[in-house]
Amino acid sequence: MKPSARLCLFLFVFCAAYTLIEKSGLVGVKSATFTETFFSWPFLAGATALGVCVITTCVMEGRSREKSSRFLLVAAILMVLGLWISYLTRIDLDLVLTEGQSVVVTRDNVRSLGGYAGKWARFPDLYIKLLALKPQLSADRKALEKLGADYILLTKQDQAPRRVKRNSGLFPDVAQGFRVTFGDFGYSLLYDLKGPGGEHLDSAFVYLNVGFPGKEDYFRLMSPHTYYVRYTPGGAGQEGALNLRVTRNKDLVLNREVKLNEQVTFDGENISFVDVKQWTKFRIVRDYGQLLCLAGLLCIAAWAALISRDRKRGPSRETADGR
Amino acid sequence: MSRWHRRWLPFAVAVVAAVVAAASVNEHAFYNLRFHLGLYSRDARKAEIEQTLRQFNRDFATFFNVGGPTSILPTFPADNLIKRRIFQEVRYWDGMNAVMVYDKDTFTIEKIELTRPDRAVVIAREVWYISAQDAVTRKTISTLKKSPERVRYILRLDHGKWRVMEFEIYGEKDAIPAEVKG
Repeated sequence: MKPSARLCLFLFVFCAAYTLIEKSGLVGVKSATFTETFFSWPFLAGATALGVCVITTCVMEGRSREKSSRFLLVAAILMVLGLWISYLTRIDLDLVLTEGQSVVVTRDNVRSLGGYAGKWARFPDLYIKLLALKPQLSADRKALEKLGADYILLTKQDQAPRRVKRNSGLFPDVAQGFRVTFGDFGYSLLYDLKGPGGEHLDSAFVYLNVGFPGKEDYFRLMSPHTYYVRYTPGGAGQEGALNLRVTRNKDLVLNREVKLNEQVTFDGENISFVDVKQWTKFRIVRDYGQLLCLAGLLCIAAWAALISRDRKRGPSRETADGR
Repeated sequence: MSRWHRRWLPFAVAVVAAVVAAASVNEHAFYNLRFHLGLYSRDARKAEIEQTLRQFNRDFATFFNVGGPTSILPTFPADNLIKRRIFQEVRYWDGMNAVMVYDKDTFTIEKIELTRPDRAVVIAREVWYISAQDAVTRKTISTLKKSPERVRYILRLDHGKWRVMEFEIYGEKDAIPAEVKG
């Protein structure tokens, strides 16, 4: 094997082994995501070097004239370009929305919303409003089988807001380069907190990972209290079961079943849950680099197909002649 | 160099280079590797965690009983949000010229689970006697409450020391649900 081919193989094994190690979480605290792996400096360096090595090998050895090698050359260019475009311009955001809630994503808040934005990412002006959710649960109510969502999406380039009604699934909703998917599901409770004199202190929806048997979640407000909630929705026309436990540091202040709109008093305060809505988690991604990588993978597949076809045909005439 | 060496050496070097690169981007890579391979003393780790929780409960009670001595705050093995919640309540009682006295009766660990190299989840049964007292005379100004409870502690390893990052309180007969935050 020629030294250049050996170097390419070395770099390929390095990238593959690095991805496997990171995905297995062997030296990390947990398994890394593909984004974390591909955007880390060892992979960026290794994959770029591999791409450059393949390109120079093809060009220096004059293989770019061969049909199969041309595919490999184009694949290397596309993959390296795709990786760097993805790293520098990707936008990736998870948003939890309760029915009726809207969010405007701008260049100022995309990072504060916990999303990833590449250094050269042109920030979107994106508006999304969740209108309604229609979950379809399994018979034992332990799993979500299908989730339908009705939402409004407006990107900067759009002329008018787009109303989308669709089910969660494998294929995303695509709008102006953004891929929008959703999947998780739970309930948001509207609490109403009152002071000792009955004065209104605070009221808001809080999204909780509840709704399935045995699931519990908690929230905290300004006081040292922790509110633990279990919620099981009722059937048609029936009120759901709500269990509330309140602790103040290590003091268990309250632990009982409550009803919607029931005012529960503890430590001089008064809390009631006045409304229940559903929430889902939207995933919004814009990544032009992925398209280039996909095209690169197709080129690699074409290269592999041509190589295997040539091998089946046997040695080329030049080689057979000994020239 | 044999033919076998020539053929496989680049692969071996590439894999070693990948391990070194992965180790360079992960903190405490060697420790994490030992954890995943099970090459560590589980008993020693559990003893450290138990000791941390005993210190946590001792300091927790001291904060309340003495009205918040800040001198032990840096060594209190807990995250800042827990410290904030404790001091919020201590200050509340202080404003009423009172202290909330937590007397620990029993503390029994049911289960210690090492979920990640830097995370541990502990389920404990505890019984506390809780009462409010006048800060000066130490006379009890509330009824003495016996509070038997189950507690789920979530701990994280920070620079080689365990710290409580969350504790959840359940009734003594409550089932503990799957972890949702952490």
